[in-house]
Amino acid sequence: MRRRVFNPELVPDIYQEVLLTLHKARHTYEPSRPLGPWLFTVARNSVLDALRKGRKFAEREVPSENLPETIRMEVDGSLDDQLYAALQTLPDLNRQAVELLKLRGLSLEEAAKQLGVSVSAVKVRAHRGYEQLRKLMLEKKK
Amino acid sequence: MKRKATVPMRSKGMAHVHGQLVDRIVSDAPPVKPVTSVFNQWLLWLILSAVVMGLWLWNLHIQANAGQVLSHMPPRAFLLTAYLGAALAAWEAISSSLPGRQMGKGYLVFSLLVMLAILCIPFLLFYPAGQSYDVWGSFIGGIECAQHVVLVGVLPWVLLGWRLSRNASFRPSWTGAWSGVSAFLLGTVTVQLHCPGWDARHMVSAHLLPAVFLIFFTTFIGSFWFARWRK
Repeated sequence: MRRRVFNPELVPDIYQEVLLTLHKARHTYEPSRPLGPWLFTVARNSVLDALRKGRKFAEREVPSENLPETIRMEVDGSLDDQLYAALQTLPDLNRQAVELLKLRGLSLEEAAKQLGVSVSAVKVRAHRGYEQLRKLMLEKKK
Repeated sequence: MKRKATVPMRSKGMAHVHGQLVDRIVSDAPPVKPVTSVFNQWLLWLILSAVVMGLWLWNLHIQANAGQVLSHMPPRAFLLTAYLGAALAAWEAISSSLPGRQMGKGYLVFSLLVMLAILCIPFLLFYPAGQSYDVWGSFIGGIECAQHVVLVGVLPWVLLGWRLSRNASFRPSWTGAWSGVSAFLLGTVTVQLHCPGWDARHMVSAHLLPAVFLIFFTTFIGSFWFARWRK
């Protein structure tokens, strides 16, 4: 089997497929006849079918690098133009909270310390900012 | 250069678990009744199809001057070649559905030559000299014969298909095609024994063409029906 299957990662799967097919086709073995031809025919056809199936699957497969990203980032690391423009329209208090938490990656405590407000206030401002951003992006999409 | 596949070695514990799993599958598997040999399946089908043919001929009536017609070589040659083709096709269908029992290329070439002969014999031995051939007109004129070919062939095909579906075909479309050739050629033979039309145009359009069309149908159905054992 290893002579036919060049990809070593596929060998265990195809081996399992061959055993399963042998099990399903066991009623077609005639005990009065030699085992070899029966065994090799089942194994050979199972390998060919499994390779064919694998090839079909590979044709439909999309590499993860080609999948669209949920948030498109520019090469220089800045946000998508539309999202950036929407962020600029937010009220300053909400925009600052979103920028500190999501763009600069600060924790709630750090953001609260930098803004000079309580953690709860940062949470409320950030929440309002997310809601406003969501509405703006949806409107632009429509 | 010989390519070497590198497969990670299984651990001893893994091999033990694997062995246990295989033992469990083997002990849980119910005993199966082995299928009968190709020859037995083929013989059983020939007997059953001969019974079906006989019943249809009893119903349709054999042509009135059958004795006189069959005393000549051309009708005998056509009927015997068609029946031989049906028998060869049935053998091919059955053997292709049993792993390790597939026939060699020589058998396939011989079978295809017989099929070619079945199509050629009417033109060589029964074509009225100097007359034109309207395929569609001949088909419409012999629509009743075409219907009979279909009706006679359906039951032998279902019987053969039922038998083949219990085997394990790795080429279900191929098996389906040969089962169709076999069953509907029997239909052709039966109708040819009933119908007094020994004109090549009628024989091909009304007796052989329906069989050819139905082979596409049996190939399509066979690709599903004879692959069910793998589900």
